[in-house]
Amino acid sequence: MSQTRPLSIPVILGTTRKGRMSSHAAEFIWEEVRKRQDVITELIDIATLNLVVDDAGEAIKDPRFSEAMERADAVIIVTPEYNHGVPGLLKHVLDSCLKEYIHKAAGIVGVSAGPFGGARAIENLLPILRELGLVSIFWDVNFGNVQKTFDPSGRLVDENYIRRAAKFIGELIWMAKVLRYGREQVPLQ
Amino acid sequence: MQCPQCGAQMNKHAEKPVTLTNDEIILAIHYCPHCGKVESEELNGI
Repeated sequence: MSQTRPLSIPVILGTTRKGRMSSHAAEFIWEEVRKRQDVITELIDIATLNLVVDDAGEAIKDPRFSEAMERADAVIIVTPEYNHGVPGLLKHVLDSCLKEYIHKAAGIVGVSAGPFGGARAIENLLPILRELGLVSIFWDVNFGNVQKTFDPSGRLVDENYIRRAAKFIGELIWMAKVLRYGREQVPLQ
Repeated sequence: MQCPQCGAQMNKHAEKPVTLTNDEIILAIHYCPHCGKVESEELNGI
C-alpha cells in the first residue's frame, strides 16, 4: 500500500432537516476519526452541497463532493431514520457519484429518537451501498434516544459511545487499508 | 491506462455493470497507486 498518503475518511452528515440531532452524532464521530493517526477527515454536510432537484444521478455531480469521494478510502455515513428509511436527499446525494466509490469501505452511523438507533434506516441503506460499489463493514454505531445521548449543546452524555465508536472506526480503517491495497495492487482477472 | 494526473500506470480493479437510459454497459474502473486518481471507461455491453 502507498505509505505516503494518509487514509482519507470523510464523514457525511446525511440530513438537511432543521433541528436535526444527527449533527451532534456526526460531529462526535468526526472528532473521534480526527484522533486517529495517519487519517485525514472532513465533515460533509449535505445541506451545503449545490445539488439541483430537477435532475438526478451523475448529471448533477457537485465537484466538491465528487472530489472528496474520489480522495476517500472509506466513508462514514451518518443517517437519521425518517419513516423507516434514509432521508431522500441523502440518497439523492449518494446517487450523484459512482466510479468514485468503487471498492472503498463504508460505515454507517444510525440516529433515531426511538430506541432502535436508526437500525431500519441502516438496513435500508445497505443494498444501496452495495449497488454503488461500496463495501460495508459489520460494525455500526446506533444512536437511539438521541435526545438523551447528547445534551442540547451537542455534548455527549453517554460515554459508552466512545468505546463503540473506537471499535467501529478501527474496523473501518482495517477495511479501508485492505481495499486500498486491492485497488492499488490487485488487477481484475 | 496512464494516470491523467501523475502519469503512473493505473490498476484496473473492477468492472461494474450499469444501466444508462436505454443501454446496459460495463464501466471499467482504474485506480492510480501513486496519487489515488480514479478513472472509468465504458466497455461494450453485456
